[in-house]
Amino acid sequence: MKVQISVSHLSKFYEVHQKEPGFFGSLKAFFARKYETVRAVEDVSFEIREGEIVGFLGPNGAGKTTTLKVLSGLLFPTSGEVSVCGFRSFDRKPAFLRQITLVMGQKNQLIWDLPASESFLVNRAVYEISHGDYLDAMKELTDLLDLGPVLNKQVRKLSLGERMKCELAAALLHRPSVLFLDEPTIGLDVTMQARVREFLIEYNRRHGATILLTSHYMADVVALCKRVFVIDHGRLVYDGDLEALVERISPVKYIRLVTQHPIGAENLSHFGEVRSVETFKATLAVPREKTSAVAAQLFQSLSIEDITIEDPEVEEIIGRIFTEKLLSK
Amino acid sequence: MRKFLAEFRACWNLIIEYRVMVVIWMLTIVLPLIMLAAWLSVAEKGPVGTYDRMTFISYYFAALVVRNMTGMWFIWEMDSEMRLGSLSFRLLKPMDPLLHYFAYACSSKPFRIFILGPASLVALLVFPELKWAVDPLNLLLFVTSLAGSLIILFLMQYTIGLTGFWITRSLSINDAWFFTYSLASGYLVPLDLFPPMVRDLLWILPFRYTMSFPVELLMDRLPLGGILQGIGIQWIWVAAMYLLNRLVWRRGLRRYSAVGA
Repeated sequence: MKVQISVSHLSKFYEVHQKEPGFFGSLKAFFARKYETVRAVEDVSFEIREGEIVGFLGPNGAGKTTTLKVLSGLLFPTSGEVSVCGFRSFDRKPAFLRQITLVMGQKNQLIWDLPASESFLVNRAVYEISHGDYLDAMKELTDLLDLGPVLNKQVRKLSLGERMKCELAAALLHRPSVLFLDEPTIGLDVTMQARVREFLIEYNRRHGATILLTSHYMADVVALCKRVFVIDHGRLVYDGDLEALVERISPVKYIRLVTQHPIGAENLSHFGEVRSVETFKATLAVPREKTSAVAAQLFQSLSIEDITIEDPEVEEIIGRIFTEKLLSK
Repeated sequence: MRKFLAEFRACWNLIIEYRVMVVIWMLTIVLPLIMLAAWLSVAEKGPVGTYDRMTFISYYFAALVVRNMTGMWFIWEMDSEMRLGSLSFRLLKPMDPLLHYFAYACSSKPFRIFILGPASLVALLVFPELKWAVDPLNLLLFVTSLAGSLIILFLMQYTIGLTGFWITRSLSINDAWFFTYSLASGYLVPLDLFPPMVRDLLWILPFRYTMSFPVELLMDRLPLGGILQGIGIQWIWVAAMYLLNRLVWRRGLRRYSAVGA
């Protein structure tokens, strides 16, 4: 598979001016502005191959959106090289723009006071989509996203979920091969989130599209991405398998058991770290490589009614990465 | 062209959505009528320069038509799109945003023609002494001059809007611009009534060609040579404004940092 996105030593610094609150702050800022450099992205390098879905993880302000904006050509990098589909993003050549799309969950590209179908018609002309391709794409998107009932309602009257579906459709009408998705499921309810995920997987499968997405919903990342980037304070601190990351951060699995007879911590402590225990139920944290052996021992020595082995929640793990600075270089 | 038409169609649909608002906007262009009332009382004692009462009436009604046909208000939309970051979506499309804003600026014009056309006809029938030259040739030249006016104004406004790349609030510049435009274009006071030196200066600046020139043309105050020369000057200004606009656009893009986290 060929490399679709290649980023080497990308940095993006902003100058922002500081203003103290209140009237005197304003007055001071009027005469002598203080500027501060924000290092939004610093020395980031990675490559993404055609057809990959990569999740971009990081707390607010880590530099995820900035990176997506640089990749899609909206921001000029302070330094470094960025190549997407063989183009330098910032040149924003029409041939490049026709191959990419950027969806920002918090922003709106549809014409607010008109039905979404009007925005689609504008995009059809702007992207020079032929009549046949347009009908094909519309049919596919209408089926996958169940757009039928909402197409002719004014955008301002749509619910957030309906609007997001239309946003996705508008962004994908020209069948881009590279998708940059910034919080595509933000604010959506669980069913709608799942729907959007299924749609993205299907789109990726059908068209071999490359997808780079950010999300605060770990379920999105788990469902969609085998590979993740972790970015913190503008620096890329992890690039690799989501599973490997989970193993690295959390070397334990949880064994949850239900017993026929009451148990206490003293019965369990030699099997592993006891996380909780209450009469018939207990949870143990056990090193990954030992889980099956420990489970077998438990079966032999206790009267087990039920036993499950679980990974810790990814949410919890990722949270720990940032609060405990587990990956900081 | 297909892109422009698609944008135009969408903007036109917005106009239809807001047809009542457009009518209200049309009615709020009252500045010429206020000026007219003032000059009429001045002209009671006799003509001012070459302007008698009927000339003033003809002038300001023509100004009203020209303002409706060339005025544009897209800079407010542009300002909010730049501040809120939705300009980003326009930059991601394989189409120059200039086309969108131009379509937006033009989109209410058919609607305005639809209302102003019959209204002007009625005015001509009721006041046959209205000093408008409405023979086919003159009307054709008038429409041509309106196109030039519209494009000059568009490029001026679009360039001012682009200063938003640097100052995030381009509307304050626009206020200063409107003040200059009102005075220097003949929108408030006919340029013929300025002292000759000022008038000569204003004939060189682009503002005359956005208002006074089409008005003079409609009122048959210009010889054919003057009309053709005026149209020529209009297109020189279009070219100059376009070059300036592209320069500002390229510089501005480099500076643009899309707002929002």
